Amino acid sequence: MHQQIFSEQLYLGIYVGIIFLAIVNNVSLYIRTKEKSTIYLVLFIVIGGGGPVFANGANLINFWPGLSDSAGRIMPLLFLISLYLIIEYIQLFLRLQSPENIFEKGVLYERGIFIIGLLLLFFLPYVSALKLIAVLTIVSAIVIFAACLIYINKGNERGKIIIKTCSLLFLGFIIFQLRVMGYISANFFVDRSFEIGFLSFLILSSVIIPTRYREEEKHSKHQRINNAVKNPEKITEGNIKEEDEINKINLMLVDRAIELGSINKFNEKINSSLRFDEVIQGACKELLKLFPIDFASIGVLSDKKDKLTVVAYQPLKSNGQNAMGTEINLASNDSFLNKLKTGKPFIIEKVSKSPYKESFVNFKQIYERDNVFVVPIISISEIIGAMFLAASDENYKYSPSDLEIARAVALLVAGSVEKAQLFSQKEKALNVAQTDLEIGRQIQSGFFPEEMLDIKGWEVFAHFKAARQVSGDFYDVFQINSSKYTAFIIGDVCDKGVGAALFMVLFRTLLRAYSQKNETVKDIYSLLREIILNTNNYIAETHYNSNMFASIFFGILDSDTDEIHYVNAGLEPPVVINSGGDIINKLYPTGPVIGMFPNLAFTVVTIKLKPGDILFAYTDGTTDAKNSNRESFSDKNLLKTVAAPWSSGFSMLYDLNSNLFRHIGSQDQYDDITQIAVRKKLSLEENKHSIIRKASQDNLEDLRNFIEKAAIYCKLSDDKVFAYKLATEEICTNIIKYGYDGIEKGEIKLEFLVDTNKAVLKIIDYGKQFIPEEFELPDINEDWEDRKIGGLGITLVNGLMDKVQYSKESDNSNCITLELKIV
Amino acid sequence: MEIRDNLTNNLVVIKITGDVDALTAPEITGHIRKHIEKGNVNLITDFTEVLYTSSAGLRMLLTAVKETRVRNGDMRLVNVQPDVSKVLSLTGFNNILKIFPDVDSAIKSYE
Repeated sequence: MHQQIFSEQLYLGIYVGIIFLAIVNNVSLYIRTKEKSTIYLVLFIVIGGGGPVFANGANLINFWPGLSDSAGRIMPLLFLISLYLIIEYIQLFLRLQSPENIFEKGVLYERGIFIIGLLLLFFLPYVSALKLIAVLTIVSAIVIFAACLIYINKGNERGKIIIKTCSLLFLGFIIFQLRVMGYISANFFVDRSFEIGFLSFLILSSVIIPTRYREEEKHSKHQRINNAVKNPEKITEGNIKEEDEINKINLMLVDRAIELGSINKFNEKINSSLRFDEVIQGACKELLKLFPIDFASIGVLSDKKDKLTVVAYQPLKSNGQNAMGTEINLASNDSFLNKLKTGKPFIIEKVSKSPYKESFVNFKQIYERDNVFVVPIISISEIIGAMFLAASDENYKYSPSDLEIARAVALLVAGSVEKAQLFSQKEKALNVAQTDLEIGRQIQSGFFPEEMLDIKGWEVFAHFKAARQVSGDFYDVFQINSSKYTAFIIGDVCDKGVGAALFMVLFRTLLRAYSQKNETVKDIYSLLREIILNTNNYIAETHYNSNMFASIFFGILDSDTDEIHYVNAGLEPPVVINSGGDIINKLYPTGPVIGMFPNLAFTVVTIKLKPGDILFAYTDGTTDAKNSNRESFSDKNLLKTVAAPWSSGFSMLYDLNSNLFRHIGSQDQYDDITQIAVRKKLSLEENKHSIIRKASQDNLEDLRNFIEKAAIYCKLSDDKVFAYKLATEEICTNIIKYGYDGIEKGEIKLEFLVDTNKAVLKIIDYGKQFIPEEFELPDINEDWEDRKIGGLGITLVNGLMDKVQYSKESDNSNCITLELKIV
Repeated sequence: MEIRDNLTNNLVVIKITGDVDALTAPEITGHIRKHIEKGNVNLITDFTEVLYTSSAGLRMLLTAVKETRVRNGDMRLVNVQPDVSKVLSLTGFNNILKIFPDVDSAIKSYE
């Protein structure tokens, strides 16, 4: 029976398979390594092994009894080749007592297969085929079972290969058994025995040999790069003798570029943020992409150097285990810290059995692991932390190139961590600075008078809005030594920001201090000149190097004579507007700005105001205010706006700023805005404020704000302010909606008067008259289903006001009078 | 004026910050209508940060109450400030609307 199985053709098949593979293998080995000996081996195999097969009928002696002539004749050659391979194998095996690298291990596997094939050829004719195949089937089945167990438990690559190989063998042997037992036709095997021999050998080898190449390739790439990196002197012109040498170097450089690229990408990723937690979390994520690991974490060394605290971690697949804040204790184990201090990455093979195990007791994700790569993070030769990488494959061997990458990454992480720490310090400093500025603003706002002085027959009103937290503009109103004289100042210190703000405080303090110097005021001219000159000299002499100066308008009001004595030190000329709305005077500068040089000349000028006249002064923040088209509000526009008959300084400044802030819109305020209005009242008790706006929905808010601010300015209580605000909205809404319904939109005028016992708001329009008697008020006791939506406004106005009166005036205007008593 | 929604126990709490007047009320009405269209008819409106309401605000409240109640829902007010409370009582709205001192008690009232 075995005569049929181990036919001549089968022998030839296996033999040709060995020759074919030996040639292919050695040629490819030569291409990869340029190792000359492999090419000699190919020649030897081709001539010695291949020759007889192709030179059919060569005159060789059949040494092998029981075989046909041609099969018997190749046996001596087969013997020679086997001898060569076996000797080589023993040599290799001796050289590699402990086969360290995969490449050489691969060679061992490969040669082993050849030798098994050859041994089969030699000894099979003498063994009972059935018994042998039965044994081999059982052995391969056991190996598959064992490999499966290993593979399932450890999930490694080698187990997979063994399963694949033995499964094929198992299948092959089963077929053989079926054949031997007569289930498959004998003729099939006899007819196809050459092909079966050839293919079975190829299949067997194909399972093992590619594994070898994969690993060899990976290894040789690392080897080449490392050589190139470690021995850069090799890449010199003198050394490059052959073209393939250059190709090799090119290949290395390409590989290196890929690795540098991955490091660069890593760098980019972790530097995309400046926040410490984001940086290190990003680093962990990128580490998972760089190495075959399933868990990465970063620990930071404590100041006392007694522990590492995990500040970031990233598992490949989240299992819900939290590692944040885990402490790796260093106090109990000096050796671990010392190992870190060397700065070299190292591997802990089995953490729970390592000498460092106590440090990792709390770090569950690392403690149980068998292959943990520890990379110290060094910054300016100081250890600041470490990265912990747990390999997915416990047998994974980090190549020297991996170590280099790990060190590079650790440096990048150190840099980013430092940067993030610096950034957070900067943020903190910025917060402190902002808080300081806010405190500065609060302190500075304390320098502005809280309430305007009440001067009989006069109104002094100021408006101030800082462009920044602290400002260089200021205004002040105060009485000079409990005399009849009232000083009012408006000033603009050059430059902006904190420096200007400090000088603003200095200027204001000096002006106030010099004003209060004398016990009694005899000569107001001399006093004013003295105040300005002293302030000027102090700044110019004491703070000469600061080059700070201010443009200031300093006025002193004499309420007995209605005179204003003033010095204008370089400020935009204030204007005087009469009760008719005409600009009747411009108060041009009477001296230079204050603080430039000592002992400059400042002239005092006196003007007299008539009842209804307003002196209006402003800093350049008003005229320079820009809109979205970068257009200034301008002097021209300002003068046009203020040249109107005003019932009060408050009304004028409200109207001006309502126009000004409409101009600015959503733009940032360019400069501090400071304005002051001093008005000689028409009568001693006069307290009237008014505004006129076109009757449109757009102006509703403006009208309502005017009344709210006027009521506050007149010191009305909060509930009265609310009542007037609400009444203004309700009545103006009705005028806009119904009064001017169907006709051209006219004007709405608000007139607000306050005297000692009542406040009166008159809302005047020229639209259709509202006749309250014809209007049906809603029943406020009705339930929700029946409630009407209209008439609520009138109900509210009636409820909130003490007196509501509707009248038609002689000029055909409608006037609604809303009165509240002041008790 | 600012409108912010909070979902608590499947109830929409609409927090309004700022004045409720002729200019802002239509926006709030539109916002509430969107909730009603989505089927959220049990609404709570937080008035803690509302210091001013005019008749336009009252119309908004009446519209919301009518539109929710016909769908078997309601709109309830929370923490009405004194000035606004005065406006509600002057117009009898305190009898129409259910008003609660805080969000929690308003939420409980729906249970």
